[in-house]
Amino acid sequence: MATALGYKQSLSLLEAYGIETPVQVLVRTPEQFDYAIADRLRYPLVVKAIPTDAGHKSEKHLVETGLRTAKEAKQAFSSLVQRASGTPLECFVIQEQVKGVEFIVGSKKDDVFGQTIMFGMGGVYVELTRDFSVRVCPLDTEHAKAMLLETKAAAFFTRDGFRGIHASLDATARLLVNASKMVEENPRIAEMDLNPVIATANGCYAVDCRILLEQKGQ
Amino acid sequence: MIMAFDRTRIDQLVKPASVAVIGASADPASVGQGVLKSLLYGSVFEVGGARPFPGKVYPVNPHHSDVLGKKCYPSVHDIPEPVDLAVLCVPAAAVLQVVRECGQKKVKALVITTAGFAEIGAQGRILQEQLAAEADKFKMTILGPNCLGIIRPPESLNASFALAAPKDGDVAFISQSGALSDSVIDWAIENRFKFSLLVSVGNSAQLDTTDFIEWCETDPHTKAIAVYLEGLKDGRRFMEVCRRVSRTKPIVLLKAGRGAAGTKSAGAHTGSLVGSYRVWKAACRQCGVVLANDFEELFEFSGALASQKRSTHNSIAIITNGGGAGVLCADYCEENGIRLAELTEDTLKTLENKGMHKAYSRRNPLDLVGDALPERYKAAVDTLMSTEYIGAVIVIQTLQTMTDTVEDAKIVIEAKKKFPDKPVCCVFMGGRFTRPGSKLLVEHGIAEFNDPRRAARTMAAMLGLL
Repeated sequence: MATALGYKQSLSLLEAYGIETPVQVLVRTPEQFDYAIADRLRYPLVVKAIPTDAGHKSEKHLVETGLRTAKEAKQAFSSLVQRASGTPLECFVIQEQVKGVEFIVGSKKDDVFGQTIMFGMGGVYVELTRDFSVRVCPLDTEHAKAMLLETKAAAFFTRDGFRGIHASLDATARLLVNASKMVEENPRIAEMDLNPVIATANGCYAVDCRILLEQKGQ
Repeated sequence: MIMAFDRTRIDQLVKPASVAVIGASADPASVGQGVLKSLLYGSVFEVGGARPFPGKVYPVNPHHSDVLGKKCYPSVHDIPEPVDLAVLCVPAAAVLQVVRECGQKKVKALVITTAGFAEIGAQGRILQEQLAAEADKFKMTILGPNCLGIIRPPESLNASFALAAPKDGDVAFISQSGALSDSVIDWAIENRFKFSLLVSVGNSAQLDTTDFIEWCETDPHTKAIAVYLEGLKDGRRFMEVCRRVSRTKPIVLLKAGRGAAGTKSAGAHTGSLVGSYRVWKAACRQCGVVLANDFEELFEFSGALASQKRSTHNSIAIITNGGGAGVLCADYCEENGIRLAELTEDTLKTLENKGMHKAYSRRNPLDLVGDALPERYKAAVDTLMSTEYIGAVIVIQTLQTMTDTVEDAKIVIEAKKKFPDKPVCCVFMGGRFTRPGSKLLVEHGIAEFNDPRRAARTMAAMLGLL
């Protein structure tokens, strides 16, 4: 059995390995929420409720996106509070929304080869398309780029992008290399999902994360 | 367990001066008699070219005074001379005691054929650990338990109970399955495959698949390594060894147990997506191991890679005297990532000057038209093999009334001699009447198939695309 690492701890781990995340604030109370959205964050915003057992948030409808004003954000927050009632929560997260192409970056500890890293096209549909690439860690930049380019996502990394939408090959490869380094240096990580990862023309951000640890003694 | 790899451990298995067969038996259906026959005659069943082991062979069994006309000793202690290798064909319950006796006798290496160890569960695992510890005490090498044994054709050593012995060749076959090895040998003899080493690693109480791959790196008889594998303990060491060895000796792997989809996990996507075979594929690609889909591919790839140099110049030409076969082959090439070169006007002019049919295809696949005689094949093969932007060639021959299969084969063989760095595969389609040509090709180390798909797959293996 594995246990999930808390959201806050997960974020510090990502930060320690140079994995960029959107600007975000973690809050627990409506007062903290109001204070946070007052003037520090750039709209549009995303608000999420983070359950302590960290399941798939969108499946539980615990995410509200595209919030353009403080009023919309407050409304979203109170409806989230309502929907989450009965679900034990770690906190709420307010994030600046990143516009770009959605990918998934994940890791899994294989019984034979140890830590492996995975990259795939967009968010929740990857389980349908099964368009993803895998490597055994560690990974250097060159191999990370090869991983990105062997999936259909390759179209976004070309100079002109796909239908004008371009994703940064360098930034996405850098995130992949950093994620690989993180799991390699933390062998207790049994599984990880950075899902979605959103790539823009200049950057690449882990928008949500879920890290499962092996039980001690395993 | 061996911490660092020590190649002398495997040398002791492969090059003994004397072998004892413990559990040698008068019963023709027993493993003990099978092993003894393999040593004394080279093979249990008669096959052409099997040679008896040139060193000393000592049957051991307290219940017999002689077996197959050889004096039989009650125990290893009774053998008056030193023993380098002992093959154990005794019941599981007796193995530990025999291992100890062999240690006292200063036997250097053991092949333990006996089953009933880790493969049967916890109790067997304990017994296996005990025998490994006992062998370590005496610094003895162990192969097995639960294995078919080892065959080393260049040393005329057959320390196995395989039914037949393969001929001397340059492919080492390392198998985790003993029963499969047996069938593979029989099939290999039928299909002209030859081996530098054939080893069944069994439960790997001590030496495992990776150790043998590492040993093959500097074995002068081995040019390519074929591996059949079900599972491994240390994947990282396997990768590290293969990454190094595959630079000089191609490694081809057939991995069993691919069905395993990702494990159901507590809600993470990656866990359910990344199945163990996907990881194997990734690992193989990262360490230069070629993955085969079936046994035929395992030996076709390793055979081709042992006799021809690999190339990374992915730009091939297909020469054919049948349009359909050429198009099919082009499809299979595309499926496997092989790129077909675009023939330039210059190349076409050269071909025409040498004499093409006026309806020839003028493009790749180069269709010479059905009535192609050896002269037209020669014009095409020589021109395209010597063209710089073409990295490899597949030559297809369909059988027409005027086809001269032996002459066509000779043309390919001569061209390959001039351009040894360019991989060549042939598809001489047919049966009885194409056999003389295909046989000649194979004898000259050129991969030949009856099927364009298999040729394309082998070409992909030689171009490092699998």
